[in-house]
Amino acid sequence: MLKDTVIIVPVYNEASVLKGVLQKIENHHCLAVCVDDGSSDNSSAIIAASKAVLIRHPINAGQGAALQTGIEFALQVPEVKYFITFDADGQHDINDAMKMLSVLKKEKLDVVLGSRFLGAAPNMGYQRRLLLKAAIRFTNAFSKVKLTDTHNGLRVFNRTFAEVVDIRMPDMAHASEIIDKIGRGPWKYQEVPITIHYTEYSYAKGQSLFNSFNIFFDLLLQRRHK
Amino acid sequence: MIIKPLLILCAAAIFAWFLRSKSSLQISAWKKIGSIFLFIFALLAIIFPNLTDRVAHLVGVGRGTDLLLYILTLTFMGSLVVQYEHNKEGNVRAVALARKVAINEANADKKNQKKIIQSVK
Repeated sequence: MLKDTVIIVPVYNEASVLKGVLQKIENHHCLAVCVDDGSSDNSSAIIAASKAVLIRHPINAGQGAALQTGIEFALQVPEVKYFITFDADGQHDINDAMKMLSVLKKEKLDVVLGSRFLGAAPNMGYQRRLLLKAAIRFTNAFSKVKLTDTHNGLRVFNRTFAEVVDIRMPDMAHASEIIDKIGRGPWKYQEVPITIHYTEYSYAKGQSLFNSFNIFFDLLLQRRHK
Repeated sequence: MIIKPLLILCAAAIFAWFLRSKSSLQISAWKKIGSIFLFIFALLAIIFPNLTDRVAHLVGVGRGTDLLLYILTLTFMGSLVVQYEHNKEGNVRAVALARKVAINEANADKKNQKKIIQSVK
């Protein structure tokens, strides 16, 4: 058992694939903290029946909010030193997460980010590729960090970073927000190549081109409020 | 002319309802003062329709009705922005509340406690 590591999994209506994802995490002897973000299916029941901790948002608050809830909950356990954020839709590989964790420990880093553009993303459509590349350009232009993949849900960070990250953007804009936080602090970070397993399922759940305009708008507003 | 008393009655009713509503204590003073001016403006415009024409000519608009339309459009757009911000604030509060409730419930959950103890021992 990895006693000092917790895997935070935001969950929103993932009943059909969740069991398999949680099983793989269990096989690696990691504690998963699942934040059910107001699912209307039986995701909660699946989590409760597994070895994962269940936290339930009474309303759908957005993925960023779910991550922050999971982080805050895990911070209450003093033994936890390392945090992994992991998608529930099966597109991430637990082996990649473990690889990232070992890089973080070995290099004494604060944050390790997964990059599908350094690694592989078979079955990624050209539309998605274009959208992500645009998001990367945008995020890199506004923050001090230079990354090859900015909207990746697979991240590993230490307790110090978890204590200050404080995700405010409730929806998908949190990805750029986290990068922005990394750029503002004295954090040591690195990108590690990972593989994203695109399936029809994860595609249907992913962000649409249309929604990215929303994200862009919210980020601009947030900047104004700072 | 029945229209004038009808309009005045309606305007007065809306104004009274605004000032007497239960939430009026939370409405900031400047909004109340603003509403008083708006009410006076409405009364004047209803009683002396030519007045809006004169004001319109002063600022270079052909007719008083056009001027009223412009003001109405601007007011509507302004109120949309205010509503948007207001909604957003409400949403931020709802999310904060949801997160707090979720963490409290998760902490009280005996099953969760067991799972954590098993994982860190």
